[in-house]
Amino acid sequence: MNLKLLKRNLNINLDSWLFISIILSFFLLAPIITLFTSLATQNIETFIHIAETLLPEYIRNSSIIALFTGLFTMIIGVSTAWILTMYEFKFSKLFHVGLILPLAIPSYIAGYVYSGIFSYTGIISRTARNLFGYNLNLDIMNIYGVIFIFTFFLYPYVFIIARSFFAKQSLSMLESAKVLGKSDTQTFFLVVLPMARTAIIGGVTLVIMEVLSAFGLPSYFGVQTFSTGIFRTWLTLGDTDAAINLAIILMGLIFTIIFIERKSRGRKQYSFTNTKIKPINKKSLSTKHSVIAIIVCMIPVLFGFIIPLMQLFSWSLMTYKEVIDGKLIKIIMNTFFIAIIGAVLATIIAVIISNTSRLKKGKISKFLSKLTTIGYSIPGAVIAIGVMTFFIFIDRKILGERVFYGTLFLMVFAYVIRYLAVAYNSIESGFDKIGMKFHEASRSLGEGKTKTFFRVDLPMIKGSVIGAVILTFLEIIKELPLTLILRPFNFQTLSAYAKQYADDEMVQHSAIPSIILILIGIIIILFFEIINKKKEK
Amino acid sequence: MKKIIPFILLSAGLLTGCFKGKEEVKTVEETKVPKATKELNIYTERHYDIDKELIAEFEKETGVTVNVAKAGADELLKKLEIEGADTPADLFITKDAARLGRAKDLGLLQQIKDKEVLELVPANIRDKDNYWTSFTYRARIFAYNKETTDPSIFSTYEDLADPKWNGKVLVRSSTNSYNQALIASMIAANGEEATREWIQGLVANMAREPKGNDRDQSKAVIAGIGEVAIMNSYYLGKMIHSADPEERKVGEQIAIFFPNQDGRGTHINVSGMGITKYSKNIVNAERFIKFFLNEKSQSRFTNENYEYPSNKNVAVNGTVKSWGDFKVDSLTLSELGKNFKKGTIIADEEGWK
Repeated sequence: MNLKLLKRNLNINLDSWLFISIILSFFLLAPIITLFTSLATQNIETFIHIAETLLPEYIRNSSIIALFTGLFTMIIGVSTAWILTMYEFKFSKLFHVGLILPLAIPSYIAGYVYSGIFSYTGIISRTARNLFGYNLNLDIMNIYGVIFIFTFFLYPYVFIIARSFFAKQSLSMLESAKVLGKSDTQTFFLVVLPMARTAIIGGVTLVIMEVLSAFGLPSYFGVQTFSTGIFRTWLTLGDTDAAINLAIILMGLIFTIIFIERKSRGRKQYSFTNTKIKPINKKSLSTKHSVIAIIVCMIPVLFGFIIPLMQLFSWSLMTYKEVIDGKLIKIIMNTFFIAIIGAVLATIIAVIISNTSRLKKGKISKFLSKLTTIGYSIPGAVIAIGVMTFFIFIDRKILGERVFYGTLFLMVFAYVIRYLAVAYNSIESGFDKIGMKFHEASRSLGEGKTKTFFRVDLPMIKGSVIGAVILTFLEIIKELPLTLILRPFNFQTLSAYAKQYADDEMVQHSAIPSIILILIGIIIILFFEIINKKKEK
Repeated sequence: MKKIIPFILLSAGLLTGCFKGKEEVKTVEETKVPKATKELNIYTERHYDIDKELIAEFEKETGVTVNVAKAGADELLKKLEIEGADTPADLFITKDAARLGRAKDLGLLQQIKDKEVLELVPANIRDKDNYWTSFTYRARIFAYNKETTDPSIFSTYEDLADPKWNGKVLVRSSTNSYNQALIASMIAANGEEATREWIQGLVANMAREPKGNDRDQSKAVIAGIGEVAIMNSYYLGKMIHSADPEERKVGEQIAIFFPNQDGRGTHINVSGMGITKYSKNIVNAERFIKFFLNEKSQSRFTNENYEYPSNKNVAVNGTVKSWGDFKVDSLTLSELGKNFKKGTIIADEEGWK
């Protein structure tokens, strides 16, 4: 049969964008499917044990953590974003960057740091004891501590999204509210907040998903959650079936959250097709109000960045001689190398799938776009084992020799599965903002989809693409369980290096790799801010 | 579109191509030449600096390149299990006898043939069928404040379930492998029901919810939160020699009590290793075991990591020696593996978090 003819016939229903998207999705899902097919022997005994003894606690703890972290990150993220959008005061430019920086610190490292600060030998108790002879018994290693840390290290997700939404809102709306005699506060609660609702929920959803699949911090603080439970059932009790059952429940939970988020977004269109958005003239604040604004913005920066960094610096002074050696440079390079490849790949795939689902409004493409978020709802260890099983199968059964297994390719592959949602969110919001008008204009001038994509769409969402790469990069360098399981021999990353010292109860020694990790994060965040600035102009 | 397909194919090709590191290529060759090679692949849960240094010395001495993959014991076990005959690992090293026992039970290990090296290690701290051997061990001891507590009130692990300890016992989570092994040893000694009752009592006596690591337990003793902490001996050595002056202070205020001395002895756990079932490098693996057990390496383990050396000819470090001699639990550690899961489940059921 004539190939061209075949292609044209296929084109009727299935264009190449959709085709590629389906293939990509299949590959991304295959490892997860592999896991679920291993359910052949349903041994329910352990699961019953877990359901009876532990599941209520997992559900309780996970919901409490998700609920309160969601609430607090929303309060901090939205209020700081609003203040910075509307007002100008001393240091306000600094806070634009400063408020994002906590994102550079992995929550498990924040956990080490704060438990160190609050411990018996930590700075607070030590000072109370040595100076005032008073024995303080502080304790942060509990569920409140987990919420505290997640809040101060994840609120930037809400902040970033809320800020970019506020910056783009129509000034005329605000002015109308003013004309109708509403104060700033009233305008905020009656006009701005309802308008920004969906954007804010989007940010909070990211936070909640991150919290639900996080493993390091809750397990270090001894708080049992779904994620620690899955790990424990799977690896410690050695019961794959029961662990998968738990993972299914967790995924169900997360899909419910995503569903609610999508529902709340409804059919709203964000796209700004006219250029009449007047920029907001920021108000200058009086000294008194400036002080309040500075304090409000300073609190999250203090807890989420300055304090932990100071603690890490003081630890690194104790240990740098033992930790810094010639291998450190290689570890940094490794971390950087693997994260950049993972981030770029995840972004390319996110662009392809996102563009497909935008252009093809059918059920399939909607389904595809949902699938991309699956990985984010599955704990890293589960993905890692799925990827391992899948590639061992490919190597053994299909290729007949070891090609993929034991290579870095597996790590990259797993990172893409895990963090595709992050890239996808960024790209999707980019597409949302530009809408379809320009695309349709180009198509009506006779250009094809692909040409239009490269000539029109891509340049317009360039900011979102770079944003996607950066956010995914940031996630990957912080990632832990997946890295530990899949890395090949002699392959060390900064997060793994820090974790090992902490595991051996040598928290002070983990300071140097943690600081370097955070510095890389800061550089990436600064870059992100520059891109954002350009995008807004 | 045309631009995208080749790009994806190209990047996938590039990734597999350039990610196939040097080791990888060599392992493929190894399968063709099944005699001793110049490489050794280790899966290890331990990541102490001393291990790193000894491995470097082994490389220098033998010319063998050692490749190391580090992760948690359970993760590595799962890896070995999934990899099956394709595993690149030659040696599996962990900090827990129960996991070594599990690796053996899952058919992931093979017998160590070098009897001479095994004879250096007392029979109760290596596998009875020679599937693994320990190279160091630590005791699960009671830590108390030497200024405020008179050690004559201590006796056994079992005793800590007595109501007189109400609100005084500090211990970390039962999800920790050290406690899992302790529970497994209790089951071996007293049976399931007695262990269940013991855990009930222990949970009732806890000074606070289990949290933090072993060092945190001893800090809580000095802070006056509880009177006795169950912890591993070697952490005390590490605290006494810590870079942090406040930790040193805590270390110096802590004293050690070895429980169950009038009965079966104090529970210990080991760091040990076994050769993987599908190792292609048995010769080097055995050389490595021998190297880790030789007197020089053994002294370094005790002097730099404050562990007890498994080699019976090697003297313990001074700090460790100062804690006194003690009677080691007569239980053969290879028995731990089979009680491990049961113990974990009982702990869950009785609310030891």
